[in-house]
Amino acid sequence: MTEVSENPTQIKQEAKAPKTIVPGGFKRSVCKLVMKLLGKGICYGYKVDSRIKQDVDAIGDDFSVKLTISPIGPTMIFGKKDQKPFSRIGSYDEEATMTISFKGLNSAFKMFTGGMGLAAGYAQHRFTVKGDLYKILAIVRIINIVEGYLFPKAMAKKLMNPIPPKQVNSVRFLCGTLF
Amino acid sequence: MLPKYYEFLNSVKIMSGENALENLPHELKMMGAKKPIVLTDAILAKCGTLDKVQKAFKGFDIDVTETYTEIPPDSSIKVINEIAGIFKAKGCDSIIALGGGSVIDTAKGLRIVIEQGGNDIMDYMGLDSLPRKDRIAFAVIPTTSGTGSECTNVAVIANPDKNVKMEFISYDLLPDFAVLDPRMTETMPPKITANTGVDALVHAIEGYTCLQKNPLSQSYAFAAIRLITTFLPKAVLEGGNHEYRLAMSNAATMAGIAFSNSMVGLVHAIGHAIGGVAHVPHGIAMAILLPHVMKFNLETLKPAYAELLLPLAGAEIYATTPKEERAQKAIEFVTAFIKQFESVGLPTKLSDAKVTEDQFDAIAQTAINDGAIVVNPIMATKEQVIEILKEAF
Repeated sequence: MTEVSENPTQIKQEAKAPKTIVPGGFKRSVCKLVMKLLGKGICYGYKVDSRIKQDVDAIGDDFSVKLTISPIGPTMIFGKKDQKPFSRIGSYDEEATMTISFKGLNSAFKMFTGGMGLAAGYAQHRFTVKGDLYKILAIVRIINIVEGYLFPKAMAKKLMNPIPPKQVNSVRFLCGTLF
Repeated sequence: MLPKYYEFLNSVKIMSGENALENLPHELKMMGAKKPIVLTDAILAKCGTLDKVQKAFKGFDIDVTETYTEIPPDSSIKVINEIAGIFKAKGCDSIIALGGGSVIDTAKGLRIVIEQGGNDIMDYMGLDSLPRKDRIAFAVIPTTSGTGSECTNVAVIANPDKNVKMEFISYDLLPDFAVLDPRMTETMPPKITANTGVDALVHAIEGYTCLQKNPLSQSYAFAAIRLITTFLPKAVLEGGNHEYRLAMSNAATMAGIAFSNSMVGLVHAIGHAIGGVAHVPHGIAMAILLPHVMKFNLETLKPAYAELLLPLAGAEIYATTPKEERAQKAIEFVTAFIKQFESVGLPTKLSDAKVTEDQFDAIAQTAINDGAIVVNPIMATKEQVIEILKEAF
């Protein structure tokens, strides 16, 4: 239950200039798709993986995490708010308590398609973080766990050291995420 | 081998040597500073170090009478917010930090709050996310040789409500000037000289080996290690010697530049947690943990540790040690190097530093949420951190 969207205000501005083309159409679409899958995976993981549940619950009962790609998205937001379960919350233009913002589409594409792990992305200054770094680390760990389920082993091995052990079968995880 | 991509910045003007302090007023004058706030701690205010700084400004049209001398051993968000209020109320326009890591990190936090125009440092948490604003002049005069904070883009600030140390990372945290004057460190007691010096060694070793390493940061780290292994034992024994003190100040600054551009890893992640949970001084935690974390990282970092045997132990030992044994030898050297400072009261076990086993769970949980853990070559789990703590106990 995540929301992935492009920022319509900026898209609208792009639309006003008739000859402007939104750059990186293919890569942007892939990122949007993977972000949606990742977001759904995180929310499903909360239900079936005790480590994800523990980390999410430790962050608190009122928080939101925004994942976005500069300058025009796509954007995904998830979190807990107003006593509602951990899921998609708010809208893309809402201020989140934590924001991970990828500096550019190409590096985000690499990170969302298994070309670069979160640790390497951090080391290469590929994203900025706004908010409590202490809590963001829990999110990084959660994303690693979910990628461990969703990505093929060979790909996951390239992305993280070590691959987090699985608590449920990957096929079951993927099915639960998709359906 | 070059990394696929890296960034490196050190914009700090380093003023190193005898009477370096006397050149600071001119530099601040050139930046238009008229009324800096001088941050320091009660000990430095009492022992006359603050007086030395104020005397250096005599005759200049710069008012250095506004001081804050009650900075605690762990800089905290409350203190920063309080000083920000004083800074604004008294019409200050620049910052001078005189002290060790906590004073410097407090000053960095203050600069963020003032430059960003807010009232609460908590509003500016994050990584590389602060917009550039008009800068206020900021000079650092370190009185220890360890943190390297005078040249880093990191501030570690305690959140006493949560019992954690929080990291702020931004190039905006880099000061304008770092004054390395041996008079500022000559009175440091042997135990503090030892533990701050080992802190610098950890910065250099982690700066050389963590995921964000790059050829420039590694050059600084390599040179810093050589200086530390040569001069730290001498500075501990003969604190009044300006040559040794200046060498250690330079080493700490170089190690700071290294890790500011490559970040620190698991030793710091666990060390910050031990500081937050068990209130063990940072340098002591570093000294206890370094050999154990090196062992943990050994398989992944074997080639890098093998390279480090050269600056650690010198050319002769490096050349006579078989290639495949160099990494292990480097760990043995580090262990023995730290152990020699037990004679001046440096603990080398967690039990000696009054950490208790029932604190391990809280320490490990805090450590895995520390930013430094991300750039360690192995992303340690909570269980692995507990194992390291047991070994270090």
